[in-house]
Amino acid sequence: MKKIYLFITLVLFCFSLNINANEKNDFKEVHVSVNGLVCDFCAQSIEKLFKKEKAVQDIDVDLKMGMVTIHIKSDAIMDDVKITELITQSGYSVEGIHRVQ
Amino acid sequence: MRFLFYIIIIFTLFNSVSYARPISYAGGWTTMFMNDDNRNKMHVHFSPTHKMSIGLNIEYFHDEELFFNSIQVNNLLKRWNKKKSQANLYLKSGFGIAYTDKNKFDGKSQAAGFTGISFDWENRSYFVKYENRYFEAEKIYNSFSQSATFGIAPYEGSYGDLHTWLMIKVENKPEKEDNLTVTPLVRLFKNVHLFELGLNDRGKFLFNYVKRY
Repeated sequence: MKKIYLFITLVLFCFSLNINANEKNDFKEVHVSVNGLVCDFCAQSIEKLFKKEKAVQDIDVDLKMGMVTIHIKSDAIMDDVKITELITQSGYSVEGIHRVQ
Repeated sequence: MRFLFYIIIIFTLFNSVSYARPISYAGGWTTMFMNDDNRNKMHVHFSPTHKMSIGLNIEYFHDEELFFNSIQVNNLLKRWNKKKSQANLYLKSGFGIAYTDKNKFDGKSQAAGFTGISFDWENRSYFVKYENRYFEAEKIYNSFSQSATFGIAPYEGSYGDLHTWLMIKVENKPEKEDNLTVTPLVRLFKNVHLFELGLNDRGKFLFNYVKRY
């Protein structure tokens, strides 16, 4: 009986480790090519609107490349329509969206 | 009224002021302060959408000894977003109360308003802007002014860096005897803060500040 309890405990422990690993490290990246991205105010507009979204873990803006990289939480979804909507609300336009798993 | 004047001056001197896009992102607030040899101006606005902002505008015209308090509405008529550049056409309008204590108009106040367009184009190295404005406080003061600004960035910074622009602003006020003013200025831009400092051809300072929230 003790072996059964030990086995169950080990399985649960391993399962919990796996969940924690996913929570901390596993998020998806979306690269968005944006038109009109020429200054810091532009970048701030995009950053502020995206950071209000629960699905967004973090965001990087590359002014030189005109590229916005969105890090999406592993348990969340943000589709292209939503991304385009947020970029448009910021005042800019989307040229292309590329997803990285 | 004098008390209000002191508040504006203190606010402008110690908090700074400015000159940037008149509309923010949807849900964004902006505070702008502008000071030159002609006027002090404070404009605080909220943008419900990226195409429109509404806010409070307070101005003091030095030569005319005129206060103007108004509600200002800015509309983005058209934006051209390109891969490496952006251009904008804005309509700016305001309506409120003008007050002066100068000469024969001593203590007089009346309804006043202004309207004007602004066009700008910029990429990460060059900036061009044209702006005009017609102001009318019928029996007190009417004016038309227009300006053109050209700027060049000596380097292209990344997001979050200190961005520097070297600019020259040429302003025309047809009703003035000396109707052309040339102001070389430096624009410094970091995070949510934008500063402009200039000195015009009459030796008068320009100081602008913008903060976005």
